[in-house]
Amino acid sequence: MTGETIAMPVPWTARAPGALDAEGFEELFGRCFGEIHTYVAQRLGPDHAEDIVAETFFTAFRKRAQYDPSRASVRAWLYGIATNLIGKHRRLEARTLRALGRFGPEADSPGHEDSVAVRVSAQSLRPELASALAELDRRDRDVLLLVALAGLTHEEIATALGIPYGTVGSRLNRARKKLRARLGEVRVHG
Amino acid sequence: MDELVRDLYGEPGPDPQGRARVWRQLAARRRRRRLSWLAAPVVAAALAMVLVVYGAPGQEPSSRSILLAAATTAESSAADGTYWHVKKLYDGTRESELWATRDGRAWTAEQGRVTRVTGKSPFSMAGQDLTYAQIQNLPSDPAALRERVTAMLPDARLLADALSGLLWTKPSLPAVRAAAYRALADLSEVRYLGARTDTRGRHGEAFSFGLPSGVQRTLIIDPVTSQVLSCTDDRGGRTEIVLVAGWTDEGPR
Repeated sequence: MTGETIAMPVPWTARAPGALDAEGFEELFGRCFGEIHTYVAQRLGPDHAEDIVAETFFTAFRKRAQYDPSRASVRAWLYGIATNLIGKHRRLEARTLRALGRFGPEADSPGHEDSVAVRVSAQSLRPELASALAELDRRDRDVLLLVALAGLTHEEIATALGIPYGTVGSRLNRARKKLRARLGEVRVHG
Repeated sequence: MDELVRDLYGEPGPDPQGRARVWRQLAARRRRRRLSWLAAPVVAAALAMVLVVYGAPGQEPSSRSILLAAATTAESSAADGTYWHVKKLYDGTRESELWATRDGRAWTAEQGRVTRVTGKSPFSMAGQDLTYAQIQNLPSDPAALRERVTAMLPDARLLADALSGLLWTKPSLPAVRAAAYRALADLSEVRYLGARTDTRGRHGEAFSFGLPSGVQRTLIIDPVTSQVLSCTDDRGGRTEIVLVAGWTDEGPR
């Protein structure tokens, strides 16, 4: 670099949109690490999250040729991979849910503008909710959490998990119904 | 209902070092995968490098160990292909390319127009032309390299900069790049700044050193591939992003 000048103005042309080459992969990691880590840490606990997140991105890197930008957002695709990997750790997920039911999330979650009422009832419902979630069929739980935690649309979930669009809705309804039934007489919105 | 579920799970934030740890784990695995078809000694070197950089769990790697690890990878990197090719992005907008062959021919490209370089070498060190043959004849022993490079410099304070230039702006032999990394590891003025991302979001380890002008120059390197990712000067100086640096059979186009 010392004293070398080979530069003249050249317009920077961006890569083909959506293409996932090695360079695009690094950008993807930078952009999505935070939310994928949050999702995995929520479901499997912070102690094991890093390994699963690394596995998620490594799988994505290996399968990058199969990623089709016209079918799914890259974000939904990553959530799909993470969800499949989480599925291999059912006992860990069950243990994490038991801990969440007992103690609540470890992080001091910032108090957003939730009403006090919701917070209080949420607090008392915590153990019931956690065990109800643990008892759901894994596939139903996956869909529910991809909506509730990841904020994916039904269409994104269908592509991410490789299931028909209609199945997303039926799994989601079944999951919500079971949770409501379990939480019993307490009136819950949503 | 969704709100209750979100509330149950909370928002576990990643530990500040988490991102870098995961990236390193990933980069090491990608590297091992790329090497899987190569000869065993190369794989062994890569594994040794992983151990050197990452050391005992929970222990932060030192500046020296990162540079030495990069040296180990540099040694085993490939140097076949007809053209030495560097593609850089200046200040995020201007792209420039250079191709050079072993017999001394060279081309630059700007605005998609390729120009043959004639009458001078495309390489220089501290403002003086450096021929391809001179670069090839650099010693691969760190102490000898340091001595040779020092002798070529008008100002000894340019040593770190000149050595680092051998890592990416010149077609140095793998053994010479390794020696340059080792020589840099022993320079007290080279400061390790920790894990950083370049302006394109690529993760690496940052090192900085001063130039005689007082400007502080920062390089981000990927110790797993031994590639230099970017070079940035402070005080509003220029930023160079290395998009490509290596040997290829694909000529100027």
